Amino acid sequence: MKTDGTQIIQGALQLAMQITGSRDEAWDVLQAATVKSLEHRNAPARDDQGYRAWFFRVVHNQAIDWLRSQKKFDRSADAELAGESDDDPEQHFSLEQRKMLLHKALNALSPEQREIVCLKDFHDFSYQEIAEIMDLDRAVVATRLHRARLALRDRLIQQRFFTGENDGVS
Amino acid sequence: MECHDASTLISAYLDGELTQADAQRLRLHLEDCRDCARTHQELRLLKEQMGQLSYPNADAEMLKLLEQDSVSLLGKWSGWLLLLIPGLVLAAYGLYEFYSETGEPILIKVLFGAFQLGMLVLFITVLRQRLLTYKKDKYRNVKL
Repeated sequence: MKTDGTQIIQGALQLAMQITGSRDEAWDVLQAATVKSLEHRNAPARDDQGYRAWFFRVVHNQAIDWLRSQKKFDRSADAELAGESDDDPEQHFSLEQRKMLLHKALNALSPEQREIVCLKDFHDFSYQEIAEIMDLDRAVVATRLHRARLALRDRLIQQRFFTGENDGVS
Repeated sequence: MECHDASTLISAYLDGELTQADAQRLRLHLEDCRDCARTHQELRLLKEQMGQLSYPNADAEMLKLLEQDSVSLLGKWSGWLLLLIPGLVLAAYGLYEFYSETGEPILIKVLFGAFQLGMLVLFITVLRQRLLTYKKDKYRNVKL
């Protein structure tokens, strides 16, 4: 497997984790998606520019199928990937604490909101590519992404994420 | 520009997905409106931090497993091909031998021919039915 291919696989696994909220399930989703992608007739070539987005779309579909089967579609993720919270006497959040708060706030979103924010800010896809991956209109991507970010921000404001003061709310 | 309109543009602005004109209009609004400017700041920080999140990677062993999946799939397909192609050639050869054989009575040949025709008609009917339902199946694209 080429380095590029490995990077796509790693990214796809991360996306599956972001949607399902579970490492084991993400692995199952990725395996199923890999088999689907190999069997698919209209798959673009692996070195094709659009292959990454295409493969992420297969992973997206597979993950949504899994969520539906678990009836978790509208629920927030399990806290499995969120990490444990620690009280820290320091006034400002450390980088690690910020990451943890962000993980927790992300996991409190719906899988769809989590996915759209991650596709943009973590995987760095364009709106057009996200539209293809999630089978949405580009304009819908713009509004849903913005709404998801606002929801995420509101949760983080409750956690004093932006002011940096830790008064034990976390 | 009203705050409501501005707010929905902030994300697209951060992502570089606005037209130059819209971006300019938003910049002007952000200079005047503290609420929207704060939202812009918060979302910018959020975007930055999102990019720094870390998730566990697949280790080499897991990647190997995935590769094995592709190899076994390749095996499955080449297995089918190896089974089908020689099978078809052998069947064609058998039929040719049967019909070119002069020893068999004509009646047997006619009956056998009718039997084969029946099988062929059945096969085509089922295939046609399948193709028709496939075309009408609006959910066929749901799963990739």
